[in-house]
Amino acid sequence: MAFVNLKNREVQVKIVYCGPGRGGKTTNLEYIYKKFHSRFKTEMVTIKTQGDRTIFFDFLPLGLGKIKGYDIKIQLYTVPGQVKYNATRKLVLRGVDGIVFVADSMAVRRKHNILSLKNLQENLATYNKSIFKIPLVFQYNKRDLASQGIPLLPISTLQKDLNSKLKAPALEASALEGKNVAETLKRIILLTVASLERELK
Amino acid sequence: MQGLTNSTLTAEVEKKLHDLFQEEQDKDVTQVLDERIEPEETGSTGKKETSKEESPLAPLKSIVLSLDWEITDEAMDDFLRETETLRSRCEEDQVLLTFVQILQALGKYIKRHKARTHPDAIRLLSTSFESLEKAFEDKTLSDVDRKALLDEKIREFMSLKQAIASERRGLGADARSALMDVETIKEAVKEAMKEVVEEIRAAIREELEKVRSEFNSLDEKQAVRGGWVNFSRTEEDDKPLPIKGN
Repeated sequence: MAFVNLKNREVQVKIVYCGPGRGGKTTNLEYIYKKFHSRFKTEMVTIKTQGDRTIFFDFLPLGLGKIKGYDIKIQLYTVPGQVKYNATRKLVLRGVDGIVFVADSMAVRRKHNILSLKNLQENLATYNKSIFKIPLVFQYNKRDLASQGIPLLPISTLQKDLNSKLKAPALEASALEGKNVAETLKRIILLTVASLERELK
Repeated sequence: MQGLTNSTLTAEVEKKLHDLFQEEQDKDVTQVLDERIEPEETGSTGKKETSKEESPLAPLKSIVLSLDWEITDEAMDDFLRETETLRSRCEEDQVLLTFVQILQALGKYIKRHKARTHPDAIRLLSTSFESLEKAFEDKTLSDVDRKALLDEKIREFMSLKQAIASERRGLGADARSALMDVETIKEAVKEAMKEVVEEIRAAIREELEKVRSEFNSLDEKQAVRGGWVNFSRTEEDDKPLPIKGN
């Protein structure tokens, strides 16, 4: 659950971008940072390997400012998507309040999307959290590749593979071009805050 | 906490987010999906969304992108097969053909070395493909521009080759110098052992000399003290003893 500091009247909400490796999680955060960092006056922390892959995590704190006398701070994290970094993934998921699952629309990544979602469900279960209950938004990324002739999974297939049971909001996106990146973030923040509101009542 | 649990919190956050992302929202092509939207309505299948005819490079591009994610034998075989197909299509165009040859050389190297591949090889494979794509599809490029693209990749390819070769040489030299070190150490130990043995021998010899001279001087002292000076037989010793009573 979100960290609420009554003394400082501060609420910290942790949102984690999950999904298979090379799906565009870091690109989402980079776009938000590049586009809006002057408004949020924030710095992005990122640790990458030589091949530009996330090895630990990316971290982007965003301050929404005062709302009802409380300072709302959103912490955005990505997890490394590569299979071998499950320990780090699990660690970053500790205390998560909301999840954006960035699925890769490329046809060749279909299996990786499914495995990554299963892995997320298992990792959440270790923290006694249910993927069915946690605020979740799907982002079907890389839709721009269709214009380059790259075979993509139809949205219906992605929905069937990943969202048939969860029935979470889903958006088509191109993190590289910034399409629906901010909308995805807005969706998850609203879902998470609403969930937090319900928990605090 | 009362303030937080107020039901208008979400609405306030929404308003705040709207203000913060205002400019972006205007540009967003927002399409939120739900369960009721049929695939036909989304029009989002790969084939349907393709705005231009599928490029002959598309299958190779897909493989190059997937190689960035993981390198498997299967992916590398697909890659080499695709480059071979492409090669036969590019035989008329020297620039494209050379690009494909660079890709093939890199592909074979990566397949052979996998995890031990030089870190720049994957990056070069990816950027070489991008340049090939540009040379293949951008009809506005002049021959000079296409040649410049190719020259850049050839330069990078050659410097990668040099880097790999010098790394190997470096490894060989290291190994040789390590072997030389071992031989030198062995020789030094042998020499040291010889010196030690000689020193020990000399010490023993010296000790023996001392003991011998000690013995010699001991013999003479004892002989003087015990009256052992004349042990040799004399004529007197051979004379018969006088008989008493006669």
